Amino acid sequence: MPAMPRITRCSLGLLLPVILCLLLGRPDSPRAEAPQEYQVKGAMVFNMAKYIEWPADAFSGSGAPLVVCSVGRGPFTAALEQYRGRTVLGHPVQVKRVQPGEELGECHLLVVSGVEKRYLAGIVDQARRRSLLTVGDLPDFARLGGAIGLVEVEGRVRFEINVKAAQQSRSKISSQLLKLARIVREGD
Amino acid sequence: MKKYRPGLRLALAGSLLFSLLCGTAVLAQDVAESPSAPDLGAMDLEQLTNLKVETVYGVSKFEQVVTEAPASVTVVTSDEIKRYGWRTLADVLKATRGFFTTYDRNYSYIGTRGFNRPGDYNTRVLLLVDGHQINDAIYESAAIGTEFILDMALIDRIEIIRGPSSSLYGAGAFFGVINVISKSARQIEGVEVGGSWGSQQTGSGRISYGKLFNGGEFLISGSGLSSRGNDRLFFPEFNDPATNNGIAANMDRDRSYSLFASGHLRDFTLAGAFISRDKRIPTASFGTIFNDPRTNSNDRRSYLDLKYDKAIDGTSITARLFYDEYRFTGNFAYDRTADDPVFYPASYMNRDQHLARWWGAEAQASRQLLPRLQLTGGVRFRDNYEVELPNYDLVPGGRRLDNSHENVFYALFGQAELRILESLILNAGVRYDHYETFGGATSPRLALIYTPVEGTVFKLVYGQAFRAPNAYELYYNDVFNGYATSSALRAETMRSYEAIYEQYYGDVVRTSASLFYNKIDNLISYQDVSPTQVAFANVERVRALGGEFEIEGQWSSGFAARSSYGFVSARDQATDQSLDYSPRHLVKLNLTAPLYRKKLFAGIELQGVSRREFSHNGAQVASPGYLVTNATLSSTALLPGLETSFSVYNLLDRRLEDPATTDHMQNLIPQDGRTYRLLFSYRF
Repeated sequence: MPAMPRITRCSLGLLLPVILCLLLGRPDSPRAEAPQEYQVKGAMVFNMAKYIEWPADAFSGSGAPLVVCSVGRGPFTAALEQYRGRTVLGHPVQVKRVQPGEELGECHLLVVSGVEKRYLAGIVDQARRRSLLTVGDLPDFARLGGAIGLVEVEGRVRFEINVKAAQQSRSKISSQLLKLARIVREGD
Repeated sequence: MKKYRPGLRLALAGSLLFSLLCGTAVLAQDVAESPSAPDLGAMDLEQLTNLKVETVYGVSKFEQVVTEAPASVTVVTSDEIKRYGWRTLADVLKATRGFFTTYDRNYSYIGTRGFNRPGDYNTRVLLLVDGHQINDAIYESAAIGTEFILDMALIDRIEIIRGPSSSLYGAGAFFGVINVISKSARQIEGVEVGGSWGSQQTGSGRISYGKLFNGGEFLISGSGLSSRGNDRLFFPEFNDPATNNGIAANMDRDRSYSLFASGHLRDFTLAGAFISRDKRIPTASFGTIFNDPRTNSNDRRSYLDLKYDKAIDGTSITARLFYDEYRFTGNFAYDRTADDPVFYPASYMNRDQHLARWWGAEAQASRQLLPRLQLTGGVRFRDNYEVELPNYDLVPGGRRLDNSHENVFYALFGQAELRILESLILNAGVRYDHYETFGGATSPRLALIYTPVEGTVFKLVYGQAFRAPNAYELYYNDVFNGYATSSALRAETMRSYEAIYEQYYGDVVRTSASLFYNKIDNLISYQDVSPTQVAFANVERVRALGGEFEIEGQWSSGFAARSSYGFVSARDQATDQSLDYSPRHLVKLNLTAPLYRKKLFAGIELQGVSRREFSHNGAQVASPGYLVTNATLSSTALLPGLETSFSVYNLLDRRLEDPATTDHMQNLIPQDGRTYRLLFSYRF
């Protein structure tokens, strides 16, 4: 193999990062930044509350908090934090972190993200026994028994709704939300 | 041999530092101008679903899996594969903390934790595609070169799990598990065509089709690759007019074609894959005739895998039924010698025609038993109903050795995950494997995972692992009687201790440090039985102490960086020498920078491997350390549906050499100089 002269090789080694730097350092044209996936997912959970009919006894009063519980780690659960305190339909949003297996008594909505798949069945089952609506972004969340799955399709976040799981919850999903979603069946 | 130039090393180090500084400056700038995002909370759902989002793949996406796994895990994404122009799994591993590879111009061998035994066909690492074992039933080889079953364009992500995982996965998971997760129709909807062209007359093509339908999805893809390879490889050991002056001309040819299909309907997933790869062997290994194109190898690997995945009343169940096949055909050209029958022609072909067929089933269930206790248990059964390793001469009436076997295997395993405290998890697992060939093996693993505050993780892991002797080691023999069978081989065993500290700084930066100590006994190695015959035996004992450190970051600007250093001291207890083929130091640097609107990226990587000493046919030799640079320019969606990349490998055209096994006359196998590749894919 023909070896390049040493000078050429050294200068190549130096030049490349320099070019890289110059390109890097140059301020990009004004950035029309697309929002981050998890910011959108967080906003979706916050917004979704408007499309859900809660049972009459779900809130103790008109100003009672709407409790969004989240299980798991990662950026999705972190993105919810920023909606803490904002109001939906007159209810201030409260975000509560729970561990797998913990009591879900006061939750109105359970957000599942960043948990290992083998935990999912347990979490979904627990939510079902509490008639609690679940939202998650694990692949196949809705198919595996979750009510509302958030999936990324060609750079957009879309809904998948497991109608059967949703019906088992005490809350009712509005037809507007159903229209936006892909309906997923559980194989049983 | 070219000397390592300190000037060049300095220049590289300097430029590295410079680019890091510059990177930091850019990041500072990035933080300063935090983009004022639209108020997403004020949008309605329909607007939100139509919003184009920036997907995050990286440090945080797999946080749960990575932080709570009882091991040190690296996740490689399809984006990284694109940005760095990785052509094979070997390319991926070269860029991964604590890994390196050796290429003998036929197969690539994985080096990790001080271990790299060229010629062992990667039996100590478990390779999975969507959870299906790829290691075959003869050599247990983890194919990571062009003979890997899945096209790189079909990979969604790769999870690299370090350390022994025998307690969950059994025998193969001695040094680690590499799980490759394929893309689904959701990621490739419609028709996608791909192709590449590059140095050494290397070209490839691919066509994929994915479809989503009510209740399921379906993906099918076919690929082909042809490369002339390095058509003038020079080996000084053969520098003689009788052997073409040491030049292996047009002997590096590599051709393959592969098919992959997967689909799921409701709770069932059916996947099938096939690859056939032909490679000429330019090194004249095993004493074959130098520069004879008849010497080549063909690997054919295929499988069918039906998986059932369901959550039933709080228990998640996964069951699998699979059928696998592996064929190896090795053609070796020999000159007639005095030992050969007199009626043989002056030169003749010897052939390994190996075939293995096996089927099996496994089931796994996981359930939360108490609020703080998660239990997982499973069984696995495998029937290697056809294992044939014949060797014969392609001469009418010539020598022939038939070699047929069959055996069954089963395993039981369980794992408990107990949250002792909110911040402390105890993970305990045990697995029992039973082999017809050598008996049973029990592999426990115990891990403590402590998260004192969000973002800080400590892990202490103790594990025992084993590796069962494979069919090749137990039974292989050839017509020359150069190998003796060794049916009394026992399993290799390892006790491993590891401490891991991971720190997350926001969603952006992550550091990881680990320290490990491995005690390996009964290591299976060649041993001379007589001056002309070798056999495998449980001979070696090895102790390896090492550490790895890594820092990685991924910023919303699109800039990403990862750098790691690994150190290991592996010693053979019998000789009290450093273990052969084991480099003490590994350094890596990977940088990605967005050049234009997150549509055009520059990726640059540096990989350094220190000197590797080894004994070769009685002499103590070494392959020199090296630092290699690769650079890739990649673009996404400059035109809708079009992705392209241009890569330069070994940018500085360094002379690289890997150690050779004793099956070779030469000590060192030359690697490629500077090469190029242009890759594209277009979605209709």
